Amino acid sequence: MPPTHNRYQRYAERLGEPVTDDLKDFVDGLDAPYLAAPLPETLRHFTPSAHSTDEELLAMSLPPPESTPVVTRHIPPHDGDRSPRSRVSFGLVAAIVFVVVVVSIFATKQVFAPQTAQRPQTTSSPTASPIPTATPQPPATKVYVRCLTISLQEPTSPATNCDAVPPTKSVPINSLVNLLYCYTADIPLPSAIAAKVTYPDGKSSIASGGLLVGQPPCDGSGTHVDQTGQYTVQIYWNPATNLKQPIRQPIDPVKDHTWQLQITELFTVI
Amino acid sequence: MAEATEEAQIIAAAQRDPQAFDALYARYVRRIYRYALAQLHDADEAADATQQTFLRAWQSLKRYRADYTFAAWLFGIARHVISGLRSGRPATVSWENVPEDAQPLARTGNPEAVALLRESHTHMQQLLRRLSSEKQELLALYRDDDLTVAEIAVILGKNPETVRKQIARTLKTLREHYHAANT
Repeated sequence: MPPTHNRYQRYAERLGEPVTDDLKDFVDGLDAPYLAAPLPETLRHFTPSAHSTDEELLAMSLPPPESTPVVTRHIPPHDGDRSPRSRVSFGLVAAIVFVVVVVSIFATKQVFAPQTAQRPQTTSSPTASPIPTATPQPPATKVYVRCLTISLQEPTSPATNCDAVPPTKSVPINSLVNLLYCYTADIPLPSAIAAKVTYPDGKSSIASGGLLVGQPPCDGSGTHVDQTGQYTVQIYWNPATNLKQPIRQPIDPVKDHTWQLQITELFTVI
Repeated sequence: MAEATEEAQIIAAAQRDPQAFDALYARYVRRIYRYALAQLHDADEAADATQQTFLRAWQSLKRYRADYTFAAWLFGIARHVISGLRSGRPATVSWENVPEDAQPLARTGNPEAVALLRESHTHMQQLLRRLSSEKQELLALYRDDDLTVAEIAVILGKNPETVRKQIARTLKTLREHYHAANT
């Protein structure tokens, strides 16, 4: 969208000049990139869950839900190759597991919804037996779940099951981390998923997206759901520039980079 | 006037029913995003800032009073959000990341003219970045066609006449540098 004549006129008046081609070039140079910048896909709709802090997420009132109560469950980690750091993290998680918060807030009344049930589980299958559900939510309420049952896997390890590791886990910066959110068939599909990511510089952000089946969004983070019901948040981070890179600019993995990306929390919006 | 009345109705509706906020979002999202992008120079950060701005506006909409326009109020929120994001962050990607097919063509359509124009646009963006953050902010607001100088003054907490003079002065300086580099 090129600057309009009115825009040229506006600048001309401010500069005390007539509208000439020279002035138009100046205004184009000043404004054209600004006007031409496309609105990111993530901003097409207002999604209050997308970029908020955890407190905001939990304190927020939302549009009506499609349905049903929500449960979360905890899946114990494999013993595999857990690092000391992740052991510590798991300790933290174990403590937090008992404090899983399911808060629902009515659109205007700020009423807390009942907490969800959660219990350890011995199987890692995503189709494991149903877990007791929470008290049904009243209509016109969405529920945010602080999810503690996530898995982190290296991108080279295809997600074949929901083997859980502590949700607070540092992973090498190799451009991509998959977060898997496990759920059972009685849990409604989340409409969005978000992960709180703490970067090496101490800053953190919420990476999130709607369910974009087979189509990762361009903002470097987003979700994917496949037929087995595994949710993936892909988080890209380029340690060279400290930028979350869009997928259209793939990053070469930095194999020997020592910085760590820390996934500290995962939220789902159901 | 009719538009102001319509907007007042939309705001009142959104204050009663949060779902009605979508109409305000649709009306302002592009403007806020451009404002953020003009200052942050990074599409991802600008998108984050835009989301945060609307989130805060949504949460505090009930406190909005029509002492000044909704645009001034919303841009004021955006200003605070952007200010928070700007502090202590490293320089990031540039305007060159705007997809080529989204960049403007020269009025002639001639490939050579297009190349020259893009070069001068790039130079303009470099000049813009050399401005102080206050001047960059001023121009980012002025570039929004629908913001009046009075509204910009409210957003910046300055006298309208002062803002008017600062805009003219900044544009003239920029124009001189631009002209000097292109002759």
